[in-house]
Amino acid sequence: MSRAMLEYELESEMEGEWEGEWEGEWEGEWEGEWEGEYEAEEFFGRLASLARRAAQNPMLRRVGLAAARTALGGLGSLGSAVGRQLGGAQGADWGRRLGGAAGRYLTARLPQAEYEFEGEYEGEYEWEFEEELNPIRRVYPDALMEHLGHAATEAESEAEAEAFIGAMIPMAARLIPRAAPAIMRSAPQLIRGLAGVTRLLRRSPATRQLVRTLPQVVRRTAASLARQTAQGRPATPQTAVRTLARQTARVVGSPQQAVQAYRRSRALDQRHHQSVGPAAAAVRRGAVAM
Amino acid sequence: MATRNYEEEFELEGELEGEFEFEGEGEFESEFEGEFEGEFESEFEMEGEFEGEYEGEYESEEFLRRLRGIARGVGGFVRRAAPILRQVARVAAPVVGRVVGTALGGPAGAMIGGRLGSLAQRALSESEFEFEAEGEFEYEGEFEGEFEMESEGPMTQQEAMAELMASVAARTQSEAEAEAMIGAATSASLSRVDRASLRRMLPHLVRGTAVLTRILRRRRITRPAVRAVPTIVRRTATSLARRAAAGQPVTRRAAARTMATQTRRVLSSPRTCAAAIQRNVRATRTAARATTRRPAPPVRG
Repeated sequence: MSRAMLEYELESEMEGEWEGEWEGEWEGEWEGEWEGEYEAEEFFGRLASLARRAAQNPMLRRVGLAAARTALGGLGSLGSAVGRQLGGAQGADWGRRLGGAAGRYLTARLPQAEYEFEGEYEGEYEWEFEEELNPIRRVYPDALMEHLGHAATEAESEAEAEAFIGAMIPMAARLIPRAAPAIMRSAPQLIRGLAGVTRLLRRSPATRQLVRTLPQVVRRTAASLARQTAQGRPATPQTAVRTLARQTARVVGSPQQAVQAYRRSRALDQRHHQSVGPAAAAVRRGAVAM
Repeated sequence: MATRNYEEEFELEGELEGEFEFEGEGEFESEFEGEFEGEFESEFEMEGEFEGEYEGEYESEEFLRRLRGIARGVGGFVRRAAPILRQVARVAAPVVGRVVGTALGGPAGAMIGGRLGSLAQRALSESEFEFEAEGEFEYEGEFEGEFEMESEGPMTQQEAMAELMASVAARTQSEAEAEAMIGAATSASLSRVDRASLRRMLPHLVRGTAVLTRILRRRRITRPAVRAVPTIVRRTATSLARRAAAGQPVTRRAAARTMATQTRRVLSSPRTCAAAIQRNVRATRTAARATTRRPAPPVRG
């Protein structure tokens, strides 16, 4: 079975369950309105009303779990690499199958109860951030990551969106240096997993805006990997992808987390645009000179 | 600590030669190694450069043999692909420049993202016309020879990661995955100093490298040249940094022109292209070994 088929199988596990429901939920409200920031405001505004009521959203949770399963697709490539080492091309094929099976195995261990891990690491997570990098030095890389997330949401093509998403991984390694070795070791698998999540979320207009939460997913994954390293549990590519999947389910599947991620994204993206203001003016001067 | 570990890995490279073959790495080596045995020993200066570079540092004769093999193999590939790469560079350079110089999103972004790439592909397949925008971009000549020594010298972890991502982008079957990898490679190719001065250019550079990757991957014979993309990014960043240091504004238009220039220079020159790909192969092997080593436990107390 090819890797593409394995990934499709993981994706299609959830697709039939939620896609139709999503369209029924939002269709009349969103149709024709998916342009720029206005749509994002509307989308996350509705999520915010759910968050204020501490309400759960089963459909959003299913989206989060589907996205998490897609992230685990990155394990197929790990299996292929190991398989090739052992037995050449045939070994690579078997390795892909094993990686996909590992993905299914781990999928069963994603949170089943609603918001099982909600708030579990939040306090630790904030502390980790403060310790890793000076807040002033961190602002610009953070803002750039959010800008990349925004660009990925608005990109016209899937490939371009995934290019922006891929660029986030090395930035996360710089933001949280303690996680850098784990990220370096697992970069291809993390990028594949994240690209798969991006592809899934962008597929439907109803979920496309959730791509803006992915910078938060990346940051939280890096922080978690740093924490694991500090606790003497060095992260392998497999555990890194599992961590990515868990953070994806947690952030994307929760109205509170998704809204929080969006608000942060909006604030930092605006800061990024402010920081490039003088450059933007120079470009305008250049355009006039042309 | 991370940098020190990386340097130690370089020192151990000769000892651990052959211990691990990274995914697809064996394919690449077998494609090149021994293919033109002895043919290019005098043609490429890199041969002698490698021996002097590593003498005393890497005692392993086996390691040197493999380096020569890689150099010969890469040289063989570049020699075969040179005419096509020159043609690709002529078409791709202005396309990349146009992509980098255009605002993100909107109708212009849609055109750049899709149609220019298709136009470039048609131009390459039909060999019909020189891309009409080519005349807009005047190629900078004031820094001729400035990058001659770039294949030498130690590599940072981020640079090695960039080369690794580019090698994956060259080999993967999926177009979208290739662009995701090259996005990571672009981000990782920038040094700390370059990132500070070029952060507003990064999204544009990512778009440029994504389109370039798409063009190079269209034809099987040019696909390995995707490994040279980190070198193109690095050279672009260095040029822009020098421009900034000279007091000139680093505008999007300047970035577009610079990246177009470096794209053409690297892809059109067999020697430069070969050096870039060899650097990528060396870095990929080292990074692959680093990923298979069990991580050292953290120091307690």
